[in-house]
Amino acid sequence: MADINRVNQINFDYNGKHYCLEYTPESIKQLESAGFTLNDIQDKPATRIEQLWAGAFLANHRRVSNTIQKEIYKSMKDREKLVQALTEMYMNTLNYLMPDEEESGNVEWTATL
Amino acid sequence: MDGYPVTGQSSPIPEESSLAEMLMKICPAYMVMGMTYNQFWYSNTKVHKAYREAYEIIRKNEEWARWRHVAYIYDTLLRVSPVFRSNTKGRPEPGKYPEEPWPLTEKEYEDAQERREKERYERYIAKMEADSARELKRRAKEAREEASEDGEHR
Repeated sequence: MADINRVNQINFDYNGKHYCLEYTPESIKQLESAGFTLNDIQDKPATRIEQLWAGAFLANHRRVSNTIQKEIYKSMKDREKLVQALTEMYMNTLNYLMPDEEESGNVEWTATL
Repeated sequence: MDGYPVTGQSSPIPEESSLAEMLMKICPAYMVMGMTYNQFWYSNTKVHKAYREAYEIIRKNEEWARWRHVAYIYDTLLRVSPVFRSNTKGRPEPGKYPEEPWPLTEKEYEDAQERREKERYERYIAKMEADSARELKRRAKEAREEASEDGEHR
């Protein structure tokens, strides 16, 4: 499995066709206009994961129907890791385009109650 | 934000905006780096990364070019400064103007050194050849003179 912190694309073959899933600024914009937000992925996992998965097709496989997308998703191994990779890929795209104003320091910290 | 060109804003990420608005705000910054509008919206971040790195190289090169430009001026001032000294006797000559631009890389520096060595060597050989030709001519002249003197004595 690729380094999850640097996920940039997800590649696989399905029914003899190669798929390269990725996010672009345009697909992120479209996901947002469809109501997607990462913040409520815990509260509405089914809807948000479905949107996240469909959004990853927008860049290179726009014409793949929803039904096929769902079929592919169901046939994927390690779906938990796949969702994690999709989330990372989405975050990486955003973080890369809009890095923090200040770079993070290197001091470890803990919070206690 | 490190690496972003100046776009008239302190940061391309305004607070309280939608992602689309934020992306729209940073799009011109990437266009300054050379991306087209469509490249910005439809490319993987690998492409954005390449443009940012290229922009960083261009920025550094421009900074070095500015530095070199002033360094040439500084060097020229040092070369011509003897002309403006009032306390020197005679008429001081300015330093020679550089024959070629300063080398930019180690290889260019080595090539320039090699070229200068070669030119020095060629000048030395030419001088040696000229000296030996002059010497031969002198000896031939002497021999001719001796021969003519011998003829007169006989």
